[in-house]
Amino acid sequence: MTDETDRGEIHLGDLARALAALKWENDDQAKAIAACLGFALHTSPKPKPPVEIYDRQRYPSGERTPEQPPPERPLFVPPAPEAVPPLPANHLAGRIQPLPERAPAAPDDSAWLQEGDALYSAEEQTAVARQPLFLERTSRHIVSAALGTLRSGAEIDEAKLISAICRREPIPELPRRPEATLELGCQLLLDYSASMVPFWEDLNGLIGQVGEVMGEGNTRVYSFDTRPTEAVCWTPEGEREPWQPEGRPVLAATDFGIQGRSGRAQPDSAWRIFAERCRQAGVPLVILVPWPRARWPLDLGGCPELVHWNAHTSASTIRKKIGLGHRIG
Amino acid sequence: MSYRPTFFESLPKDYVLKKTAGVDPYVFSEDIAIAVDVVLATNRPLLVSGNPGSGKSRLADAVAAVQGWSLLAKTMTSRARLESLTVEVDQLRRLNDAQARGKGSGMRPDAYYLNPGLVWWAFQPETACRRGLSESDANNHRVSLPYPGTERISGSARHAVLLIDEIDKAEPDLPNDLLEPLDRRRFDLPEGFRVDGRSRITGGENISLLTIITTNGERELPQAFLRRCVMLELPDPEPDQLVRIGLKHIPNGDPDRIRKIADRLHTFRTKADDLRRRPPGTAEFLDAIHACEKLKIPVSDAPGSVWKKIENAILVKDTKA
Repeated sequence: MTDETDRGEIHLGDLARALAALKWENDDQAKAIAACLGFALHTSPKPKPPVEIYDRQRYPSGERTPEQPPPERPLFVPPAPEAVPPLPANHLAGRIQPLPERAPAAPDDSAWLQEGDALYSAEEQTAVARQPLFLERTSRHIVSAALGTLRSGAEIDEAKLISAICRREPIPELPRRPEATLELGCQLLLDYSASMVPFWEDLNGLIGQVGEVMGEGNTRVYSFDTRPTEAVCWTPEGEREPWQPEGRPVLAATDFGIQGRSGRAQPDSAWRIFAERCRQAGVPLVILVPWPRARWPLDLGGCPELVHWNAHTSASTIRKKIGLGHRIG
Repeated sequence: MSYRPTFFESLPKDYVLKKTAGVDPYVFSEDIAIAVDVVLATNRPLLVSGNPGSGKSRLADAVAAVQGWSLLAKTMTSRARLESLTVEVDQLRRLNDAQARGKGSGMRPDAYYLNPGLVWWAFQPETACRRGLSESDANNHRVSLPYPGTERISGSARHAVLLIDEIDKAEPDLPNDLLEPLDRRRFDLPEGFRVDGRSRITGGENISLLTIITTNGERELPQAFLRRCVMLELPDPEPDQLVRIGLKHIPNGDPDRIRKIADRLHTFRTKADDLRRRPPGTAEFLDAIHACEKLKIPVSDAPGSVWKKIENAILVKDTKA
């Protein structure tokens, strides 16, 4: 059973070997053998419904349809709508009167209008393909690199160990090298302000990308409008829960109100307070910014790590900034 | 079931592993038989996915029993590493021994401090049981480790099924780390250690190994890893199949009752999708029929009936009800 060569990925040779060795009797069995090895001709998988753009008017149903009961623990619920102004207490007199009949409008059958309609088929409305800011093939590694924390690993730290032995110190516990882990999960704070409208789909996609790597149960999603200190999430009971650091890395996505303008951004003052709160709590703060470095604010305080939220960003870029992982506390 | 396996030829013609000592019955499907046969033909790991309770982990136990092979199983956690599956060095014990015994007085050989993992046991059980020591050293130092799984020896061969359970619970790098040991069937010993004069452990020539890896899909697995595995997805069985499974587990059970419970389970699965809850699996179905058979409880829709309580406790699992 030993094989000194690296066989690599499953290839046509494996399929040929399996089909030659096994006693398949009909096409279905041959197809099943091929399918096990990844050579099946599947029909296109059912596409996932696109995540709808955040709409504060739909609160509190979120992305649910009215017929669907509420999920047990929603991953993300948009913030509450602004308060409705109070109505006057007194009743105003009013009557509904029929309007006089008006002549029906003449149908506008201009030729140019019909030509325009012909371009758009009501039945076939294909969504325009959209490239996410973090590509699917790299997002997993980027999220791991950005949100990994350090813990005492399995590798023994020989240098510390030898030093202790030479000094004849007791060794109650083996010194170990740190290793990166995702076991703490993360807090994900998403800026749904007006200036982030072009990136709302990416914000929604980021929830999935982070949840896939960190585990949905380990990802707490908050939303805010411009001021991260006012970020909130909703409990399964529908109660509003303000953000506070809880000993796990914080990943925020915002444009600091840049809106594509050139020059350094002047972020809301709440960002400095927010970064300082993270620093005091000892939790790492990583901020994804969809605009290039030249437009980032110069000083946010609290030492957050800013990462360009862009398809060209790679895990190695982030590791160069952050290292193996964040230290907690 | 028209497919007759070539390498998985011990599979009974009715595709059913009957209950034996220490092994529960298992009803194989044609897809499973084909997948196991392909794995044995190509020497690739089998990656099994499916809903919780669909029988992924039990499959390894059943295949091992059908083949008469040993079973080695390890469930992954976030702390699991490649070394915990291959070999670890008990450094603290080694240091303490060195300090306690003093310089040069009765030092134990280095390999005495090796802790073999399941992959070593699968590749070379004869060296794993003596921590890689020579036979004379193992006798001198009284080293004889027990087999860390279900051992079945047929003649001189010691073939094994290796189950790496819930790999998605491990850190994301572990699947990639496993590629070399599973692909090349070898792994390196820690630096400075040797077993039988060699610095690596390789799979024995006369030992067959079937590796089964399960995933609940909680975390996406690396593409490079997926492309090296034979894939098998265990679907949720339909009511007829559930009844068949139930009657294999409880041959003297009430078929009507088992059928009703199977129908209920099917209904809950449909509702669970709509309610975005975890659907009950085959394991929960077996719990329900065992409970109802042993307690002689009829399936009844009457509010407050005992069945309703069992249904809620085992199938629905709604703590708020």
